[in-house]
This record gives sequence, structure tokens and C-alpha cells, in this order.
Amino acid sequence: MAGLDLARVSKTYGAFEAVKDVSLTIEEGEFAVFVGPSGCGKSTLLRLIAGLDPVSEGAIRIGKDDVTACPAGTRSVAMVFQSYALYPHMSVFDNIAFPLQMEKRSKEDIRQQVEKAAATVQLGTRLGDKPAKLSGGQRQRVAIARAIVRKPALFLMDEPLSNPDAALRMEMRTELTRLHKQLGATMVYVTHDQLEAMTMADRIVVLNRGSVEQVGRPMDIYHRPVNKFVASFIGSPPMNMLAAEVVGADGLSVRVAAEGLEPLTLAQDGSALPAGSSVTVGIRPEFFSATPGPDTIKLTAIPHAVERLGLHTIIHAAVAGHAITALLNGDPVIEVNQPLDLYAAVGQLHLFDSEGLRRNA
Amino acid sequence: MALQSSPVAAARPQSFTQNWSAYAFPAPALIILFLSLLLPAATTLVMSLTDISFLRPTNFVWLENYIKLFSDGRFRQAVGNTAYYTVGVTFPTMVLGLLAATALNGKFRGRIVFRTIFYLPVLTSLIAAAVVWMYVYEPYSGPINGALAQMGLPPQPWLQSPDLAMTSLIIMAIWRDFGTAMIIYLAGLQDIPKDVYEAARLDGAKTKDIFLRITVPMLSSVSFYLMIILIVQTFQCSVPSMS
Repeated sequence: MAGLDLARVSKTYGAFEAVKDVSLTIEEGEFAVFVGPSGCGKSTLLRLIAGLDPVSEGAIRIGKDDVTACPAGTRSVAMVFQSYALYPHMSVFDNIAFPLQMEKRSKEDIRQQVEKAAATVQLGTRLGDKPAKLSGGQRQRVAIARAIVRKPALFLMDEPLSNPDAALRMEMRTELTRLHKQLGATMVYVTHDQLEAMTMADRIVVLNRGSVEQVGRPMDIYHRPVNKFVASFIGSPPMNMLAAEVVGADGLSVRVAAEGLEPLTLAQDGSALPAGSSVTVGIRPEFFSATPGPDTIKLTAIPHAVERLGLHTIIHAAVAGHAITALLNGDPVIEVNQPLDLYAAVGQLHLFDSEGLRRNA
Repeated sequence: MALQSSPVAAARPQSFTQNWSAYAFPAPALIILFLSLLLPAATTLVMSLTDISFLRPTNFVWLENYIKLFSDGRFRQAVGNTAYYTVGVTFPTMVLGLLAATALNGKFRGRIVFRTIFYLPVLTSLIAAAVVWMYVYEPYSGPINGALAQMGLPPQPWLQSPDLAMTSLIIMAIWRDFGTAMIIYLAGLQDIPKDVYEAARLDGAKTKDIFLRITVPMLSSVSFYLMIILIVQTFQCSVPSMS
């Protein structure tokens, strides 16, 4: 078990920069999740850490060792692939035993370690079977057992829950979190699913176009996204963005006007936001309510679709021609195409400047 | 009384008028197969039990032809030679084909050129190739004996010596079939997921381990197919007694 340190790591393919100048430290025992849309460079970064692809620039340290130039097999790294990458011609036992056989361990030691790893992932009774006879979830467990049997310094997981169905995905999320706690291992997990990132991570690394947008604890990223990209990507349904204009600002407050929104005063330093500048007001769907509160502003929306989930209701509506989504508690009576008053908590509003950077205190 | 579905009713056979098209579509292929393969095979079997000569009336002699054949030492030697030739061609062809396919499966400049060169013997006319190989094996002015002479070694009668002729023929057959083996193995190699190789690299496997523990076993079905077609192809080349 060891921490991971990336220092100004870049990866280019011809003129295309897949990973741009990434510097990052992951502490020993931490569960870090790389999250971002398809093509953001998260899997490429993971492959660079694994040693499957060479870095174009920068350095990678695992623990105290600089492994930048080390081949994949010598980095004390284990990886769980999206496709599981099991050896189809080998039994479950041989799949798990393979890394130990490559280390030329004794047969007795291999047997003990394999049985222990198989028991950890509850596969002790399937050791003689070939992968083809296993379900998707069981194959996933074999891949995990093959990773843990080596006792690597670092676990890498490349979208391991992309293939299972929704029910199994939820079960495996819990399983992986339990395994991380049980092993106390350093794990780097790649996903495009922000729900997986929010529920599993100690720390989330949000990537976009090869660069790190934000690193932080899930709730920090949720409540204090650094820019519009992070704010839109983290949270489901995504944050609503309303174009607005600064009508007045001073060192203590910013007054904002937006079409369809009541005049709004945010208590924050507005010295960098001159009157007349374009801004964006961000409202998370879950911070709308159907009744006014002590510090709320009103929006009049025209709902055009309602999704009732039982515990919540999702309303797709238009405010002054702009599409918004609201998530209300319970099962309120809502008539489609009839004006609906929604109330947003002012304390939960986000203000982004014309560059897309968050300006809240 | 509650109605129950009858399993017998569900499995009731359908009449010919209901599914005649299922017979009609494969019928032309089956007729051609019968006329070109099954009928000649059955006729040959029947003829082998007779003394057919086209010059006199045919009589059934039952197993007499077989008894004569198996008691002839030249036939036994021909079978032995054919088996030796088959084994000598099949397995080296497979090994060389696999090695070439593995080498040419990577991405490097000129791999298409190498693949084409290795596959050319398959496309070359057998007669033209035989003429070239006769020149290669020529005892007085052939390039092999020329090379031996330069090294101070005596020339060899490659095709004339009973000891060397079989090996010479095997080498030529390997040269001819090796391209086929390479192409089939290349197709098989490209079917092995990249992830599996990467997982093996991460598990600490060296190039030799990856080849022996991952590539070779994952090509077992391809190897089996190739072995069958090479055995059938080379076994048809009946090698007579050479002594």
C-alpha cells in the first residue's frame, strides 16, 4: 500500500493532447475517483499510472519510487478492467493464481493466497470453473480477486461497473467500498458516472479535455464547484443555468437580474463583477420547492413533462423560454402547461462569471 | 373444470405441406452434394469389392482387393511415407506460421510487405513453384549446392537420394503452406482482446510467458482447425515407396 504522486504528467498522440499537465497527489489508503465525460482523458491517465502507455512528459511516483520509466509488471499495481480481461482458457483458480505464478511462488503458497482472495470475494466454491460458466458479477469478482491476491501498492479500476445491470451495479458499489475499507488499500477508480463517484470516493478528481478541473471531497465538489463544467457534471439531474446580468455590485453584495427571475441580491464581494457584466445563476434542481421559505426567490415556470418517482417528482419546465429541471419532494399536484410558481433557496444559488468561474464566497 | 395446456399438443409434428419450404431451400445444395460427393464415395466403396476392369464382366470379389493391398509391402511403406510426410509438413508449418503471425501482428513499418511476401507462395502456381524448386535443388548448378561448395562441403543429390528426397519435398511443402498458416493465425491473434494481454503484462508476465500461457492456449481452436486442414491437404499427397 502506498500513495500516488503525479507531477506535471502529459500524454500526446501526434498533435492531440489526451492528458495535459496533470499534477495530483493521492494519499495512502485513499479511494480516489477520476470522473469526467467520454474522451476527457481519465482512462488514458489510468493507463499511464499502470504503465500500459508511456507518459509524454512528467513523472509518476508510487510511494517513494519514481516509476515513470518502469514497465507495467514491475510497478506493484493491479488493475481491474472494464471488460474484466479474464483468461478464458484458465479456471477461476488459475486466473487468480496467474500473478503469483509469474512471481514463481511455491505451489502451497499460491494455493493459500488464492483461497484467501477467493474467500474475500465470496468465490470459494467456484475455483474449478472456467469464466464462461460465471455470471457477470462473478467474473467481476474474479477480476477483483486477481487484483487483490498480489497485495499491490495501488489498485486501479477502469470503469469496472459499466457492464453489469443496474441492480448488480448497486450491489458491486457497496461491495467495492467494503473491500476498500477491509483492505485499507489505495484505489484509483475511473468512471463517467457521477453517482458512482459521489457514493464511493474519498476524493473526486473531475477531468475535462485532458485537464483536472477540480479535486475535492464529494460534498465539497457538490456544494462548491469551481466552475460551470463541474457544477453541471456533478449532480443528477444537472444544475440549472440561467443567463443573468449584474445590475449593481459592491464589496458586500451583488445585485443580479435574469429573465423569469425576481431581482436577486447575493451577499458576497462583488468588486470583481462590474455592473452590466454577464453572469450565470446556477440552481440545483433539488433546491427548488413548491412553497415559499424565509429566504427564497420566486420563478414562474411552465411545466411540460412530469416524472413521478414516488419519493420525488422531477419537473421539466421552461422559465422565460429557458429549460429548467426541478426536483420536488413527494408527489405534488402539477398541471402540465399551466404556470407553476417555484421557489429557490437564495443561500443555495451559485453565481458564475462570464469565464464560467464560480464567484460565490 | 380448469383448462390445461397439453404438452402433447404443443409438440405435435407439422405436416409436410406446412413446412415444405424448409426442405425446398436446402434441396439444390443437398442434391449437388449427393451427386458430387456421397454417390461417388458409395460407388467407389462398392467398386472396391469387385474386380472391375472395363474389359471383362465385373464380378464381386468382396475383400480380396483389401487382402492383396495390405499384404503388399510397398503399400505399407507408401502409407508410412505419407504419414511421415504429413507429420513433417503439418507441425513445422503450424509452428512457423504461428511465429510469423506473432511477429507480424505488431505495428511496425513494412508489416504489410512482409505479410504479402510470406503469403505469395500460396498464390503461386504449383507447377511454376516446382520448376523453381527443381532449380534450387539442382545437384550441379543449384544455389543450395553452390552455397555448400563455397563452404567447402560436398554437393548433395537433394531430389535423387532416397535419404534426402523426402526432407526436400517437406521443405518445399512447408514453404508453400506456411503463408496459409500465417494468415489463419493472424486472424486468430486479432481475435484475442488487447485487454487480456495488458492484464497479463500487469500480472508480471514476460513475453515468453504471454506467448506460452496466453497466446498459444487462446489459439487452440484455430490450431485445431489448421491442423485438420493441413493433415487433409498433405495426406492427399500420397507418397509412394522410395526404396
